[in-house]
Amino acid sequence: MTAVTTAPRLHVVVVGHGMAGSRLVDELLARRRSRASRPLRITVIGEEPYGAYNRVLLSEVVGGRADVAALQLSDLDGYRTAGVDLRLGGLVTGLDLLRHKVFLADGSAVGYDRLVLATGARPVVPDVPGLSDVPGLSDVPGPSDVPGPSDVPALAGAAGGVPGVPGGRLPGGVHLLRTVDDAREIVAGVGNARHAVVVGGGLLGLEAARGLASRGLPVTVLNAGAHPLHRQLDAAAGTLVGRRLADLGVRVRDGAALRAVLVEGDRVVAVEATGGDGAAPAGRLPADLVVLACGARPETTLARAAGLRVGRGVVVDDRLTTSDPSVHALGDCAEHDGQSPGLLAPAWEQARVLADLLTGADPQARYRGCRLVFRLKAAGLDVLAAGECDADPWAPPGDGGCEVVQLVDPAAGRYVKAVVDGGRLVGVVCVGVPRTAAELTVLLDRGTPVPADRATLLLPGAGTAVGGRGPAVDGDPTLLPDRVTVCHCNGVTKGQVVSAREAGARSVDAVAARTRAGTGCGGCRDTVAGLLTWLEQSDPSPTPQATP
Amino acid sequence: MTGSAAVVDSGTTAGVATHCPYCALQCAMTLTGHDATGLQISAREFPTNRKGLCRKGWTAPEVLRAPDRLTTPLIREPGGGLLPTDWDTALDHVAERVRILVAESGPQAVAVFGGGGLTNEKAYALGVFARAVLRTPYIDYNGRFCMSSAAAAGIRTFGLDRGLPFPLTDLAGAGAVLLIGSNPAQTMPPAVRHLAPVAARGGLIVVDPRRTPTAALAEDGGGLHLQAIPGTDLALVLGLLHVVIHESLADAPYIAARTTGFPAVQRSVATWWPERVERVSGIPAELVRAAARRLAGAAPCAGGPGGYVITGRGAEQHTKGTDTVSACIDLALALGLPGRLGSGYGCLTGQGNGQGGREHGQKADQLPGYRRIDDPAARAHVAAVWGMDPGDLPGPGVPAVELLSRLGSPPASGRPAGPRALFVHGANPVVSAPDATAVESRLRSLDLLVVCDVVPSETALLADVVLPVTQWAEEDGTLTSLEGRVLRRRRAVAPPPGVRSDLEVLAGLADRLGRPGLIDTEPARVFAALARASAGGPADYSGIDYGRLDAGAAVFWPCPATGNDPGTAGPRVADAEASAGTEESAGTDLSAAAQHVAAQRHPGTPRLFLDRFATPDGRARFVAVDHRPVDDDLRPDAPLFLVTGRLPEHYQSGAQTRRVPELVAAQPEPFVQLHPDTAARLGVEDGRPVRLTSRRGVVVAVARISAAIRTDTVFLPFHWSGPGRANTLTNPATDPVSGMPEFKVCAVAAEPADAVKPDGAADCAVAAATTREPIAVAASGKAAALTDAAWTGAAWTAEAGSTS
Repeated sequence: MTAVTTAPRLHVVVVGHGMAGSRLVDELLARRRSRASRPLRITVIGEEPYGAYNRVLLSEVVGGRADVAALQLSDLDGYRTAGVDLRLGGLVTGLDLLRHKVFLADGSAVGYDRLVLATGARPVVPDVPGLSDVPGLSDVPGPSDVPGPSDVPALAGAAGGVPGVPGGRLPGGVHLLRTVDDAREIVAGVGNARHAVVVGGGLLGLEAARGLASRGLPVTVLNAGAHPLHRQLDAAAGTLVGRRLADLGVRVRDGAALRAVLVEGDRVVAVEATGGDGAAPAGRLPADLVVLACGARPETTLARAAGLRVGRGVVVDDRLTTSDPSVHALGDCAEHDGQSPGLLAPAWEQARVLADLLTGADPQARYRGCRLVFRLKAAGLDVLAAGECDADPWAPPGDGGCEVVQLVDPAAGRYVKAVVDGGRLVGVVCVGVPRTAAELTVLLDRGTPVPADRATLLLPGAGTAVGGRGPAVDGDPTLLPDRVTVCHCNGVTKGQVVSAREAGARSVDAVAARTRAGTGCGGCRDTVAGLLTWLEQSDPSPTPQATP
Repeated sequence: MTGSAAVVDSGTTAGVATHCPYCALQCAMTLTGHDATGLQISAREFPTNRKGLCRKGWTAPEVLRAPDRLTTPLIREPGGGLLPTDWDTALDHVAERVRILVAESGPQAVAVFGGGGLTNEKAYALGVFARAVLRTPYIDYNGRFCMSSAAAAGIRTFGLDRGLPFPLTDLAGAGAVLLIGSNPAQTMPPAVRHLAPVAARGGLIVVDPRRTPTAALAEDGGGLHLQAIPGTDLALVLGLLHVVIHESLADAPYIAARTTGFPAVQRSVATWWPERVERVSGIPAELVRAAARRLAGAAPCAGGPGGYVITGRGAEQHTKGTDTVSACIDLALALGLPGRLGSGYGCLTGQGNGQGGREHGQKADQLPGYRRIDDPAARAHVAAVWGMDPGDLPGPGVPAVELLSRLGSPPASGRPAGPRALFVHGANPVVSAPDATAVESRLRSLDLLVVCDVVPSETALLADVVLPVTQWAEEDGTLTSLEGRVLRRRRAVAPPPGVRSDLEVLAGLADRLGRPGLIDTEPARVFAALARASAGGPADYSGIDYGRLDAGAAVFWPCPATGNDPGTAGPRVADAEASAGTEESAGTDLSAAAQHVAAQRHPGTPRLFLDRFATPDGRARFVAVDHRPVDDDLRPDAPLFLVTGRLPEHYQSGAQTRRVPELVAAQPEPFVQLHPDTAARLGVEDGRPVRLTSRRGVVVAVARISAAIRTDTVFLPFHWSGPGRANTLTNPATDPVSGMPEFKVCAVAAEPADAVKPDGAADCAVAAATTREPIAVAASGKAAALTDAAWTGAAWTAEAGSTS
């Protein structure tokens, strides 16, 4: 097709080629076929030398449930064919918002009409001896025991602005889990390790811990909160998670803070921690494999230096526009409505909206925030927390209170909390109930009406009926009432089978010839045989002579 | 009913060996008796049905005895009812009207709508009639509503579409069968005999929003039921593929040797990890993993006994149906299943000749032999068989939904006026097409509607001319079953006086429209022409003739001529038929002479792709696809998914089965299946009427409360017309590749319909839906002449039509 375009194409420069940045490029390219969409020139600058890959699955790589070779997301050849200017391994050193220019470490500069910052987040490295004396790693003192950036803004980041892997500067055996190289190194380290310690009891920490345990390694988690996933779960749910983890070979030390990483000959040999409960006091723990999962902080260095408005992340409005109208931000580096959740679903939704706006495919598109769904990916550990799940069951309705129904079943390792407001599910916590979790997530996402009896939310489908294939009895067909259908394919009742026998049919085939029972799918032939046996025992009269 | 006994024919019963009139399983049966009244059925040993028949099959003679059987042509009085007339008058009238309309508006003023139940011969003749007699591009058929998505996906990956590229009996040996959107335990019960051994070893995995008897069969045997949200099969299959790739379960050597395009698929499924699939489909992530592992464990690369991926309409009847099937095929390819003995991908064809019906030229873009109508070589070949200049063959038409929507339409921007006349053969679109109310209105806007049918179907009742035609036991022909095997349908009784075959109708019209002799009336000769026209095409029948089939050969296409084939089938037919009627099981009991002949001829192709796929490079092409939402998704005022489907007692639009007393007694009326929780929330009681409302219309039917369905979903069978007509609600949005409409999911609101409303129409609907008595509504307008006989609800159409 030869499209004649007279207007110069809008030049969009995307800085960052992770899951958000690459999704934006995919969305922009997908809109090319739409007639409403304006043609764009696209330049992508990515720090890692690879195309975008699925970072969400890195913990699954550790657990052996994802294949590093199959994580690739972006179709680099496809991008080039589509005319995208790809600059992977390119490091942006500065922005000139006045002249609309991006400066790269190699001395070159790229002009833009619209700039999109998709610089992601940077994992937090605790500022403790053994880590803080690593050159370039830490320049901000502060406590280091909280697995997230939001309430402890002063944590040290793995800063330094050097391309490649921050973990490369850590002592041997100590890893972050942010890049594919981190995941590879952790997997490579498992073989020689004897004691693993995961610092951080959040989603990533528990997933990594479970993954390491599934490779047969004893794992201890240093968890700052009173129970695992304390930001997402209440005490009952968190306690169940801790118990389940123990069953799976993961020991969680709640209320524990990393104090130091002890290094011998550039390799970690132990960690020191404070806190922990009486039964499991922290202290010195042998460790030859340490994974730091202490949360991540939006990467805002460029934005801050350029003078863009930055809070926790780069502040954007509903159009994903920053304080500069020609600059947008999305994904982990962005802060919308005070939130930078660090989850994938909001980032992809932002990519969709921004692509609609940049291409003109839908000028009315807006990002209004996303319901946050936290779903642990760990074999044998089903945990979900989503929406407004901290509602108080005893708060009066109408006074901001919601309906809350709960199932607490520690013996079976089950916990469900469903929060209903206005006939719709608005929040849910599930532990150990995979089917409930799946159904309630869907109910929450789609906003469909909840059942009149809220209790059915707790274990949907618990009373699943037989679909009507055969009579719902096991073993003894004699217990069937006469009117029950034995053969659904041909609508034959037990009474008709009995009558057929009385008329002389003494074999399954003979009954079939008289009644058609068993001539369809054949699934009821055992039932018919059972009936005949019973009739034979209760009425062993010989076959009548006059058999038609 | 007390019915005829179920006789199993061991092969010695004197009688006529034929096949069931209904679905694509084409169960073998033997007919005895001299006329329709005395006709008896016995089940016949045959590989697919293994002596089984379902209730529809056992009662099939009742359709021959339908009290309102059409036996004379009918012509509508100006502004009035349909009145009996003689054949010459009817055919002259049709020809004259066609001539006038074509003179006024060109050949495109006439359109043809066929059916997947027509024999190969009828389907072929219908294509000849459209392309060579009428010379209109406008021909398509109701198979568009059945097989088009699977066909399109099969062609783009394998280069060829045959529903099952292997004999059905192969399934029984598999370690696992993944069945997506298919419920054979109810739609083709005897087929379950091949799945039961798989289920018994815990290998059956069923994806369905309902816990159907097929799903129960899977779970009861230790297999899996994935009760996915309607419209999310694609996401689910991408998740299965994700697990296969990431857990290193894929067959790397097979992928390298026999396929292309894997990297793009690997990239596209990288984002479909099980927890994300769970959020979209409602299937727990661990269940997604378990299903993928179960299937993969059966694959040859894992040392398993073999695995199959099978799709049905539940997966295919969506605006993303083609992509969903592509994902299923990708999954099968990743596990190295297609083109391997004992493994594969297939789809379960629905209609009796749903396979053959799509191969012989009643599809908008195809010529006989499954050739593309835009391929110059194909056009030249077929034009030569038809004795015409290739340049005079029309080009591609439009798929069924678009064809129906264009009927009678005035010229619009960028689009000429729609067809003014329509011929309907073997279809009942007033009941079976999506957004049926709109279809009904398009049909009413035509200048000429000609319907060939056996009984006064709802569509026939709207016609200007109704032509009574023969049905299964009254005619000879061939059908191609779901496994691609060509089967003989044989005449057992004489048709009622006054009834003609579709071939005779088309021949009579061709004679009157300037192509005398082009269409033969003798099925064997039509088959011979079809075979010639198909020669060299993907579905090559040129090595098949009636003699060979009647001698008992089990022939699967492609079966090209080898030079040893007799020139025509004609002379052989009589001899062969004289000795036929005993068996056609698997070619094992052929006479020595027949074997000698068979040895020199192409054996047919029971299993396709064993050596290469039908693509230019012989490799299967992976097709990367992505999930997308349904077209008519849930909204606050329509918070339930509607899914539609079949019941074991009825078939398609119900035109046949609603005339069988035993089936009507067993399943007398439409119903809405809904979950107890949903019913409680809505205040709906079991057995009481429910009103369903979609963007397109309103349906009232009684509630059947069942925990076998998801709480966010209701089910409505589609076999009825009138107030309970499912397709009043369904969405006519189509798949961009296949033209398949989104029958299987749309958003509806549900409420009790007990309350008496001031407006009378709704009350009437409630009354009609709740009574179990046969309905005889005083018909108005077009149906006037038929009211006495049309007790089954045919008259509902006229009534509903006049009030809506």
